[in-house]
Amino acid sequence: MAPDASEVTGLLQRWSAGDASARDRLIPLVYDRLRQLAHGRLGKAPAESSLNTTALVHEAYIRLVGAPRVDLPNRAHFLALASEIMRNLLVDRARARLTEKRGAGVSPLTLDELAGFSDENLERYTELDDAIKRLAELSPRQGRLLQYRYFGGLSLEESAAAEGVSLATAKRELRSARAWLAVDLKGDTLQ
Amino acid sequence: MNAQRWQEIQASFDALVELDPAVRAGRLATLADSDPELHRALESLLRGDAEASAHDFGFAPDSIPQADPLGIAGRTVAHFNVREVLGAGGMGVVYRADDTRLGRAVALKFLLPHYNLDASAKARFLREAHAAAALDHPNLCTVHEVGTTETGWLFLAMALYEGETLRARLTRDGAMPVAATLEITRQIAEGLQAAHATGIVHRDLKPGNVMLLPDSSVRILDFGLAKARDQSMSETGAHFGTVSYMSPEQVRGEKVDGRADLWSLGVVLYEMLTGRKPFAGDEEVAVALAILHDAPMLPSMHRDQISAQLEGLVLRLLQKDPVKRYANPEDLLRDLARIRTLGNGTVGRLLTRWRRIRRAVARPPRPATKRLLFGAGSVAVLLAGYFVVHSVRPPAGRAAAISADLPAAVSIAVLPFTNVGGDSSNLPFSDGFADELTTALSKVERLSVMSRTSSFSLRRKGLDSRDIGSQLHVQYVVDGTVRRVGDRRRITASLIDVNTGKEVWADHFERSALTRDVFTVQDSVTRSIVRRLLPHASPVTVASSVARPTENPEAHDLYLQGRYFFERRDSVGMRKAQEYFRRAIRIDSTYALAYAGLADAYALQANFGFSFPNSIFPIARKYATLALAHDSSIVEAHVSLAFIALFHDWDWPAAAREFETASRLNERYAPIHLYRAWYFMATDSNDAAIGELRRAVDLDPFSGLNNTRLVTILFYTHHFSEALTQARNVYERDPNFVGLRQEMARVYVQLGRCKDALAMLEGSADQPLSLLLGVRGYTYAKCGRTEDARAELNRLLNRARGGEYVSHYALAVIQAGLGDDDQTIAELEKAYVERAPPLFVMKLEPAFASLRADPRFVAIARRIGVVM
Repeated sequence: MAPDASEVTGLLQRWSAGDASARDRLIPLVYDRLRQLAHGRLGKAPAESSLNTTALVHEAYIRLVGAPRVDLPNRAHFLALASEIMRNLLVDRARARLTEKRGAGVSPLTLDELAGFSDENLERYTELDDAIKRLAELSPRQGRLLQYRYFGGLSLEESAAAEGVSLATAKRELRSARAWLAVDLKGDTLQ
Repeated sequence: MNAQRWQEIQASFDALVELDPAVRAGRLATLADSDPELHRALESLLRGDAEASAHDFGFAPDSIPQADPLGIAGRTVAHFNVREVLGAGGMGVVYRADDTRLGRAVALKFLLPHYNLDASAKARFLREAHAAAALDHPNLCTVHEVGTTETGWLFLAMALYEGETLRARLTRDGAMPVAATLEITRQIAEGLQAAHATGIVHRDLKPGNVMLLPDSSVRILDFGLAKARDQSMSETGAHFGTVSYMSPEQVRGEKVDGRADLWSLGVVLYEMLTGRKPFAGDEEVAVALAILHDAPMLPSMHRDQISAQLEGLVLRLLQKDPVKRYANPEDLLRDLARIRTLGNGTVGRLLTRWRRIRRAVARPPRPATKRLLFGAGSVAVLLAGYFVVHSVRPPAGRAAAISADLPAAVSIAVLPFTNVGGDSSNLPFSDGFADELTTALSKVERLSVMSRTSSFSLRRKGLDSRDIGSQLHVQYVVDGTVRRVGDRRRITASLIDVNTGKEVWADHFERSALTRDVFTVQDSVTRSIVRRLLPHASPVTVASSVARPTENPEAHDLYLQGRYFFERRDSVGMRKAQEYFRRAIRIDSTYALAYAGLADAYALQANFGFSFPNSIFPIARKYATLALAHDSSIVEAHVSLAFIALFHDWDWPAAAREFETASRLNERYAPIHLYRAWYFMATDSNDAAIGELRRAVDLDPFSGLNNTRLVTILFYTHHFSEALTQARNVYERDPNFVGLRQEMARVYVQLGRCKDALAMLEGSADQPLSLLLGVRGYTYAKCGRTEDARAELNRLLNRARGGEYVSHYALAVIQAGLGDDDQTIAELEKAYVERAPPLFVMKLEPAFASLRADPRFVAIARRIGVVM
């Protein structure tokens, strides 16, 4: 059953106003929508295409919220949440599939969302996820900034609003986080 | 590696990464000896930065197009010798190829691999493509052959046209001559007509799909392919490629028919005429939302030769509801033919010339350009920092790009009208005229009107109207002059397009200052502007925006005087404002706005600490209630009530209700957000509090008050370094802004920078606001100058004994700085009795941090209704 836009907008506003239960109610709505979109999209995608998580997250936004009257902080919160869900959805599925492929038992999950996704792509996403977790231990906010960018395609402005920091801060922290990520993905560590 | 180490490395990285590579190399080299470990880490990170900037790990959505994505250039596929890539689009890649069977050159189009389809989709695609291939029309691209390669790729062999796409032409030349535009439109419509007649809809008409051939003929490419593509995507109606030309029904993922193509043609025509897209945005989402909700700006606003008939035609194509568009290409062709015989869609020469003359006459004299340029530059530098904290706005030319955040289609600022002739008693009128115009226009839906403070403060810096417009990132500014000659006022008004600097509307009026005539000028100006900017605004919208709460010009003049003094925001200004508002009410006892003004003036008088709050707030409440009794839609009065409920009654739900009502009436009234931030702090939603302040700053970016209050909110939410950054930005622009030095001082204290804190207070004036009055004493106490702190405490106590209002909140802060818990609690008790305005921030007040567990402190908090 599709939630109507005003319901989602209302939840977003309540969440922005500090009502944590609103966030809990948003999660399943966003989750379902992302899963649906991912299903339609990925099911048709052949191995070499890259998953356009940005398109998915933004499309979920248009479809769930739609209304242009949602202001930047609310939109940013929505996209931040969606990027987190997107990350969980994608990485959980990828892990389960990889486990299955390696013969470590049959995964109970239905994996049709990732049909046509190459192992290499799946591994790249799990590696990205691991790397972000490592950075989050050093700096939780930078971890989130990476998640926003790579799993949600949030603009800098949206990321800054989601974190409640200035644009300059978001920009600076994302840049060093990205450099860190490049080092980490190569398997190097900083001393 | 631990968090601290990462912070250190990062700090060096941040300092290095923005440097010029040569300079950076030098700095790095010096590190190699002194700190080899850091040197290694930085080298590694900088390399990572370069790599990440180059390809972003392939995760980012923007991938680089490949020169030969299929890797078949130079090879033979089916019966084609494939040569180079001609182009690649969202769904396919086109190669130049030779057909070895028929010995002719063709354009060979392959669907890109990610459009590979399952068997039934493939069959559907082939069917569609064959149907399209059967179309034979001089304005449609000829498809020779549809087939499948040995490897299973679908391909189309099409006639190879030498020419350029309309996209290429538009990118190179921008807007085109009107006659050429009409001819191209006609040919596209002819092509659409032929295809629609056989039931085929293009669904992806855009300049990139329109070929312009050297013989001036036009061919539409890719007919019927979009449908197959869309079906291959998903049932969710996912769309790739450009959304700019998509009709609303396509954006919504609904079923479409030929009228969707007519919409797309409307967008193409608009772009040919004006060089711009009618629905623009930074991101796909923004464009999609604009398509769904915004009315396009009139083509004639971009280019004034466009006739009303042609404009009507474009707007009919761009009707959101397909029913309101042309029913079919034939109808469109009929109107096109009519316009062409009438003279190619341009307005007559004479008319254009007349428009120019009128502008020249109406244009107010301007100071020399050279000086202005200098002024604009320096102000721009100073103001640049203002945007650091809240947001970066797109440049003025792309104001429409922020439509996802600001749904209003047209942004506008009203500048204070210039008072010509040196009669300073006329000043409140010239400021007030602009002020009321602002109010009237901001009531019009879909007009986004900049708050007065920002427009006014830039004007005071002597910028010219167009510069002010670009600083404020609005599309239009309203400017004008007022001259009082005896009993008459002469008013000129003009509307200026900030992008082009052109006046798009101007008029002048001369009226008696003593009669109601002067109101008709405001009406007339408002209506003209709305009509000009929003031709589709209903007459009702316009009428309600100019409804006026008094019919008496004398009362109105007094009201404007009151506003004028109110804006000074000092204690003398408040009292003068009260006096003028009262006089206005004496003449017109039903003047709701004047009551609201009185309420505002009293509430601020209390809040600024000019008087004892518990004696003043009830007066403010009385007037706010009276204002609403006369007109319940006065947003200012609702905000006053919210303010009183919050700062005096500590009644959060009542405050929330009034804020809610106020924002329903006019969400863009910045004080709503300025004060609602405090509501959120009272109710434990610090992030929302910051959000509100950012909204206030967004609405009124150059307001010193909003920007300074953002510092306050960041301070109470314990974002000290952000608070400092923001404070510095304000400081650079206006170091003496009321209360700013105190704000900065207390932030410095929290950051452990006593020297800076003390320097800030050096020579600063007393700041009566209860939250800031204690900062000086507190700073002394915290920075080892205990004696000075005690002296400051005594000074304030003496003032209080002399009958002056000195907030006990301030005294509590100083006592807390001196570490005297008992005295602090005693002062807080008194602050409770006097109802010191924002006493409820006590639990956020860093000065009281050590008292938070004290049961006496908790008890006071509980009495106020603050949960600990």
